[in-house]
Amino acid sequence: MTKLKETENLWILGLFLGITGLISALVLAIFSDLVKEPIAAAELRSTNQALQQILPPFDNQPSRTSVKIKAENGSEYTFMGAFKDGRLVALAAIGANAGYAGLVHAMVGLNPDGSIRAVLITRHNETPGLGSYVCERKFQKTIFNLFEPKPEGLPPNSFLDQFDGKTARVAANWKVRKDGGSMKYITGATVTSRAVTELVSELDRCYLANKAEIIGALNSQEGK
Amino acid sequence: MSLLKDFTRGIWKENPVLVLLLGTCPTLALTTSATNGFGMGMATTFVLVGSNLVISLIAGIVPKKIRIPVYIVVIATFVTVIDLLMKAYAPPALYAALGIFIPLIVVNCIVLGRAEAFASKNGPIHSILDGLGMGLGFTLTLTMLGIIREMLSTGSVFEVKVITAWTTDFLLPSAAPGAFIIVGTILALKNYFNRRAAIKAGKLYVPPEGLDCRHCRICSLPEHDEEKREK
Repeated sequence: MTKLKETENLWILGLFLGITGLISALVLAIFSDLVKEPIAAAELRSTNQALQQILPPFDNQPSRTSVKIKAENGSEYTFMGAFKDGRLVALAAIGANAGYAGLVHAMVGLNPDGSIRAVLITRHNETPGLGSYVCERKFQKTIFNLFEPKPEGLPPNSFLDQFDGKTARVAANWKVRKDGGSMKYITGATVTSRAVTELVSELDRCYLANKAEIIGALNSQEGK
Repeated sequence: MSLLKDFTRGIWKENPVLVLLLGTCPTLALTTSATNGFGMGMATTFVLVGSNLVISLIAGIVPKKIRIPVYIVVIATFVTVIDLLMKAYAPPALYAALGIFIPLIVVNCIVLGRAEAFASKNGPIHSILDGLGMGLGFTLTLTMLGIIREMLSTGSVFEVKVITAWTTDFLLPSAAPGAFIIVGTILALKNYFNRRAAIKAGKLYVPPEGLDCRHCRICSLPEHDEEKREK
């Protein structure tokens, strides 16, 4: 054993390192196979949680009823259909846009006519305390309401809530006020506000432009 | 007795953050809130215990020339395991916040430092305890820093608002410069009190043996030699 410890033979050293890597790869392969299902379940759970917040009650699995559309600007958006009793009640449009630090991922609840139900930012890496105000919906727990149950529904966010009920077609000028548009933005987070506004309007425009195709594809998937 | 010492050493006397000054990257970057600090600390503890155990077992047969790459492979394996585990079972918000820093545990100096300085020279039981103690010390310090920074910037602790009148966030403590200022202040205070206690006891304050520059011969600067001669 001491011989192995002091060896300077390159072949033995290389072989030792190779075997170490092989054992480690084997362990990881077995392990990642073991947790594959829990990871998929966790992802599905968080998607469903987000969907339930922005869509009306539905009885299908929207993440399995989805269609991908390539928008004019080159990015790919996903549209999921929420069905109740076999009828399309609402859609969730999913896309991402470059924010201040990396991509901002959004999930937008759409009524079939193209008006916006609610906007939810699912993933972002914006500056805490600046850009995060644009993106986060959170109930503030305090020491006074710590043991009270969480209120139902979507926590408010004054920036994201201003899209509710609007359609990109009606408000043609979907830009933040600084750029001459009609959307208010949050001081200190102009880049993030701009990115979210652009993303939401692109998602809605993409839906309006491809409405027939999207609804047709979703209906045929649900009909199966 | 020595078993207990192996465990408690990491918590205060050789605290990885405040004394060894190892792993400052996650310390500064991730302690924006108490929850983040705690989560990162627990993940690092898991890696420390696992890698210390395996390395103490294989240290006898690993050729000296390639011991560092072999240790890194072992550490990286445990980091991938905890990454997958957190993806599957941790709250999504916590995983999103810690995100890229979990893979970076691989290059956290505490883990390789303990592997090289302790686990490779000691038995498995001592190594596990050392990993647990160091991990716990890391977790406690990170949580404490997280509580301080979260409190100073938003008036809340573990995302529960303590001062309800505090409505606008104060950004400095939760941003990177604030992290440097707060960690620096804590280190200065700790050194000040340690030194005062030593002077009161009539002794010269010396940092724990082997933890400062004097024992190291890598950069044998003349002033270090002079200091040594004075001793």
